[in-house]
Amino acid sequence: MLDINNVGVSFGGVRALNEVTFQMPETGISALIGPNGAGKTTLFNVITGFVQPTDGTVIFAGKDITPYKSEQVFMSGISRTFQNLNIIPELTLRENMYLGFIGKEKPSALKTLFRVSRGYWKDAHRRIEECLDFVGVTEYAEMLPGSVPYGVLKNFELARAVLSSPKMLLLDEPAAGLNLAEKENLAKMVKKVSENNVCILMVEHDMQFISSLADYVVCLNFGEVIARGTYAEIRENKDVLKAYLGDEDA
Amino acid sequence: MQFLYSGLTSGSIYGLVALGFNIIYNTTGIINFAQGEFVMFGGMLIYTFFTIFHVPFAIALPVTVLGSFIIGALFERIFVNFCKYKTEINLFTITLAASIILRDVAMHAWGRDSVKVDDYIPIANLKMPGGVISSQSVLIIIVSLLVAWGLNLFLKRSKYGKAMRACFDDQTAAETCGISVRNVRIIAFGVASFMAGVAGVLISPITFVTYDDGIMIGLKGFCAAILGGMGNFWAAVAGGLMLGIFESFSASIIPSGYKDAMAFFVILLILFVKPDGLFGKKRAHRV
Amino acid sequence: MKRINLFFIILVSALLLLTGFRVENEYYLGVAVLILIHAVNATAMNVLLGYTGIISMGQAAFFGIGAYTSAVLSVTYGINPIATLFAGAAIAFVLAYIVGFPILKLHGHYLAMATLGFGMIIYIFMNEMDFLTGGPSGFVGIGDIVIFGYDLMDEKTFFIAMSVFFVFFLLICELFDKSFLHNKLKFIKNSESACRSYGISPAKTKVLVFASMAALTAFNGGIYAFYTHFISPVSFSFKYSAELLAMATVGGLGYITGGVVGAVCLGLIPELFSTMEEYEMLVYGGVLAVVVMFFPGGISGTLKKLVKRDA
Repeated sequence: MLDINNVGVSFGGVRALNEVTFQMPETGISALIGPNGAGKTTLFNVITGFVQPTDGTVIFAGKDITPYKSEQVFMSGISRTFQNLNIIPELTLRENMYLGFIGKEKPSALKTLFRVSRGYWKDAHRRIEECLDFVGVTEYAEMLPGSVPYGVLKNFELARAVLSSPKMLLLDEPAAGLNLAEKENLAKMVKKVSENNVCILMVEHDMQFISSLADYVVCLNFGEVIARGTYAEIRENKDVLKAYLGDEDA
Repeated sequence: MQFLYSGLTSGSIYGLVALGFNIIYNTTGIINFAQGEFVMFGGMLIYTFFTIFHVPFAIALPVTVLGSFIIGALFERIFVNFCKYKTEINLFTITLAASIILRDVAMHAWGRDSVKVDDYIPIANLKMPGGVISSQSVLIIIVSLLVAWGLNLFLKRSKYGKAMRACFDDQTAAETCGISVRNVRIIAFGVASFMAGVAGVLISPITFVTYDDGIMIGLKGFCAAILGGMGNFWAAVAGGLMLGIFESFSASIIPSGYKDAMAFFVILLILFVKPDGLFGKKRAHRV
Repeated sequence: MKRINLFFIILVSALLLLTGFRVENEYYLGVAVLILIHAVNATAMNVLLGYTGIISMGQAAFFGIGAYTSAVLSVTYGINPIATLFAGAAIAFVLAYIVGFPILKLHGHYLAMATLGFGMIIYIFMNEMDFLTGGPSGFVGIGDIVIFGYDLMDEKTFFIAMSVFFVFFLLICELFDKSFLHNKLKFIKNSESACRSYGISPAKTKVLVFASMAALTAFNGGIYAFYTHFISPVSFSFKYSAELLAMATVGGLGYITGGVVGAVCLGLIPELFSTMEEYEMLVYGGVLAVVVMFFPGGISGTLKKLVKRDA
């Protein structure tokens, strides 16, 4: 589904990513791990078009999306969530949902303004309700984000990303800041999403969360891939342990 | 050459105003829309003391610049400090509202007509290579450069200079390190108003002062600051001089009525092409 | 899809009807027409600043472009007044589109200063191009608008026509406020990166909004020219942009009623304080400062909060 080939990124003199290469399977859930500063977020930004790689290519579903701007990346079927949520405080959650819809469907200004073709709008609202319902935030839909618990907002972001029915979903630290019950709940939902033929890539620190979900794990350190494989393989990998625990036992 | 001399004269005034923009921006992140009004107040104060009340110049000058400093400090206390939600748009609007108020106060205090301030030194034309330069221009250029140099020393040597930079980088951190952000902000506004006051004192014998002079001079000062690059001390002065020279040269080519438009063409051009200014360093953008 | 706030439209329509029937005094009708014109401009400003986050201090310039286009085309070239309104809007749209592309990459203070610079340039050109505009002394002898054979020559007929236009305009505004379009603009105002990763191009949308609002303001400027029969650059100076900003802010940024409420409140100030006309700008500045400092939602926002608290 997603092929990262030899991607490198330099900021000034700093080499943030170096010859990163891996293939993501057609379906299932993959995880990107690595210590802080390993380049995980930079890689996310490269895939979603916020950062242009200095070299290498990103191939998505057979298409070279390396030169795409973020808007085009989204249109080719990749949705993402954000670490800092990006939920607009002055709009209710339901209104925040519209972002996923507007971007994907791009209804024309006149169609929006004069509400022509009722069926189309009815359909749109039905889908929005479905997605809200799927993650269980319907009861909060009319509230402003400021008055809603953090866990709900996290779930909400998932709903918004799913609304545009993407082929691939990038989750940036989905479990960060959640308690145990919330994490389990989120894991269930992520699994359900992936069963609908959506390929998922997430950046995550919580190993338990990864172990329960991820089929495939890629570990980055200092901007390079140091290991890839199933969770069990990664856990036994010496380099990975060294990256996380330091060099003392070597 | 004649253009160069008149350009340097107006340019050094722009430079002073630009420094004021610079100081406030680099301390608080605000672009103070009322900077031009400070200049106008400087001119009006010196007019009041020197021309109306015939106070000796040696007393009138310190009183005026001190008055400017106080106006700036009060400005910060009243308008900026009380602004509840310090978003960029709010802060812009508040300085805009304040400039309207200051202008109107000046209109009521000094009337709608231009006022003429007596000359400080006898007028004489000095012969220079390629043209003449009046003694007033020489005074303006020398005093502006001296003031700019003095300010430079103040920012480099005194603890307030460092405190100001710290405040711009991270207010909370500065506060934690024992810097009184409140005082630093007051001083920044005061010093900026002080610079503007000096500019006002300097130009008023040549150009006269009117209550609504502030907008134009403020905008041109901003233009100079942008031209040089915000956040760079000598760049502001250089930007001012360049703008002045450019303006007076362009006046020889195009009809004089369009002269004022040139400054704005420069603003737009610089903002489009190189928003960080000619001498500014490129700032990193966070995604 | 949200329901339209019919209450506000009916209220405004009723007020307009009442004014039309009860007020015979030409002077007061004139004030009412001017307030309506300001209200349209202030709403355009509100859409830019309150919804999209574009601070534009060049609105007066677009207003002036519309007024001068109508004046020059109708008087000098004898073109139908209605057609000149659209011509002015088209010129403003194209100009704003061209200027908008580079200018709208800027944010906050920088954007304000850049649009202000643009406004100043247009203002200076209005003053200096006296062969076309009549220069600082103004452009005289602008005719009347004729709609469907009705010559809008006196205050009353003009007021009625303007009211019809205004109610229609309000209806569009309400539709806008309750549609996805308004959400889209608020997304852009709050987080451009979120928009981009959801397939919305902020740059394109912002330029379109900027140009559309410029066109609306210019159209309105044409109406203003045909109403006053005389225009001069003074009406289109930076001061007018600042007044529009004040109206939108006082009325309530980000609330569709904001522009109208602000225009009515600030438009009435000179009439209420007619004995102290001298202090008009002082009151303006003072009201603006107080609203920015203590009531960030403006009048609309504060009222809405009060109503919600009671409910």
